[in-house]
Amino acid sequence: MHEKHPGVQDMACDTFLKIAQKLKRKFVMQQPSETCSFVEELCDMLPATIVDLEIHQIHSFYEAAGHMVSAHPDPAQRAALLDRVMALPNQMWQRVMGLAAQNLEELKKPDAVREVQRILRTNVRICKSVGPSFIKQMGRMYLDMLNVYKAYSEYISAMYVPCILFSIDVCGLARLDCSPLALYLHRVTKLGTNGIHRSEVRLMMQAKRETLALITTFVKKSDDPKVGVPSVVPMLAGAV
Amino acid sequence: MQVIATSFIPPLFDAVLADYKRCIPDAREAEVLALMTALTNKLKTLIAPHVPSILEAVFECTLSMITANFTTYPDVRLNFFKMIQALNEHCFAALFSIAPSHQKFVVHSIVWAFRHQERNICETGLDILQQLLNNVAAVPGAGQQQFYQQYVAQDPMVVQVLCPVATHCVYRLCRYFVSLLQDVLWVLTDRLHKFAFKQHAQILHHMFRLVATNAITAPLFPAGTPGKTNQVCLVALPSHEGMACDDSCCVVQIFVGEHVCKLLLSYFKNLNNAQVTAFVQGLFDMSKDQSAYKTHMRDFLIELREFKSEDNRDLYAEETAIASKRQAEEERARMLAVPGLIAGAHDAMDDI
Repeated sequence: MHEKHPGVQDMACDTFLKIAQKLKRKFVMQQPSETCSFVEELCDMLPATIVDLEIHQIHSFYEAAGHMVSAHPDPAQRAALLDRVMALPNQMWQRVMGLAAQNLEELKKPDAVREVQRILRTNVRICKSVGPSFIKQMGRMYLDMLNVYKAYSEYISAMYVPCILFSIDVCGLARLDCSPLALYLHRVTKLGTNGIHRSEVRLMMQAKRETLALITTFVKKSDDPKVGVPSVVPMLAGAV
Repeated sequence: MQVIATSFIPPLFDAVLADYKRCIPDAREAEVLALMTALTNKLKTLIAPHVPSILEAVFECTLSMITANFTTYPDVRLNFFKMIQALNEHCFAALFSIAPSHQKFVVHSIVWAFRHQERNICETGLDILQQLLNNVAAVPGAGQQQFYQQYVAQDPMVVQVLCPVATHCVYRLCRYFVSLLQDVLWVLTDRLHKFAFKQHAQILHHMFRLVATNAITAPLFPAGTPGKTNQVCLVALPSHEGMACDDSCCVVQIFVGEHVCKLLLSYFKNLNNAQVTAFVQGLFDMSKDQSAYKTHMRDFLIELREFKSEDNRDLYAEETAIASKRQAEEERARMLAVPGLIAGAHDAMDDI
């Protein structure tokens, strides 16, 4: 995962994900030659392991880690492991939220939006593979996340309205005065206003979409304790 | 699950649904609708108390986005109909306990869905309709009749279009039914909807069975004057050959039959009266099984000149699919008989 030769990192992450899916139960048990189970070792080394990876590769890495965590037979241990795996994204999240608490404008900077989106996507991938045990992590982020959602949507609406008003205004002018210069000005100014805002708006819409994706995934993956537990426990007991 | 229903939903709705309603169409997220679908599928009946607020927030504003044409906002469209489907499946009672003016929209939006030419949406719409008819049929007697009747009474537009002279409740009843029937026939006879023939056939079979087995009865006797009802109907309608008119249930059947005949004749000028009458009588014949019923419909469609000169393989898609599946299974069974011909068939490697 540290080899920069093109394609190697992608392949490494994909393979890691596949192995994690197929052999997840082996990684949470302590093997004869180990001092602790592999998944614990993975948690300790996590920051060093992903340091050279691209964003999408990091996401696959987290998904693989989620598969391993989900295989742990003990719910309390599972929650603890998940906390350890999520330490890094949670730190980042705390930092962004801390900045936002001081000044809401910080949240709207493109870099902050990008970071929010990234953290959310990591959470989606983990949620997908961990399943119902994700509930604690979800509870930790939930309200903050919805507040971010609200803040972004307010910002987007505020941005859209002047944009639309402006373009209607300019269209009206252009219709009145159809000289080439007026048309040219119309095109330039319209593109200009939209151009500045468009990238920001698009980023925020992506972040919003990611929030919705996280909640949807969580809802899909959560299961009824009454139905879930009796059917899962014997399955695990039989395998271990 | 309870946790989600009680502590999870209120802040979510506050943030997401309120925002969905407020923001401009271009900025609305189709994922919101997908989320509602997921919630409904998961919580099933637990979501029922929240259904009015969901519909209140998303229904009208989404409809105004998608009813202008058949193409804009494709993802919003599909997710919207999927949401209706989920609600109809799990919270049928809640879906129809909302304000009367909205109930009409629900049925209209289903009709709108299956008029699409886009395959996904069209099939979703037909699935919903089928589910809806089944749900209505499952409601115990009085409620069911009330449902049919209620519908009709609230729908003046459809009333006017279909039956300008109608003042009588037998028309009213039939109108709800007939308006749906008319829509289904419209898509059935549209060449661009050939691919959904199987579903069309099932739905029509269900609807005609309702009429033929006299499942719709109550609205005929609204004020306790059945004699008058019958007389008015029989005067208003030319009597139908080959059908007994002695009991009032038959009036519904005759009315529906007449109406469908008239409708088809006005759609397709190239057909003569005898052809159409034979087709409609065949539709009422419940002694046939599903496949004979379908053959009857196919014959009629091919008789219409619209379908005559075309490639009609889609109409037989179901049978072709069954045949090819059987063939594939036989082939696989043959291969499985010899070890090693299919990789991995003999050792289950998944999840050691």
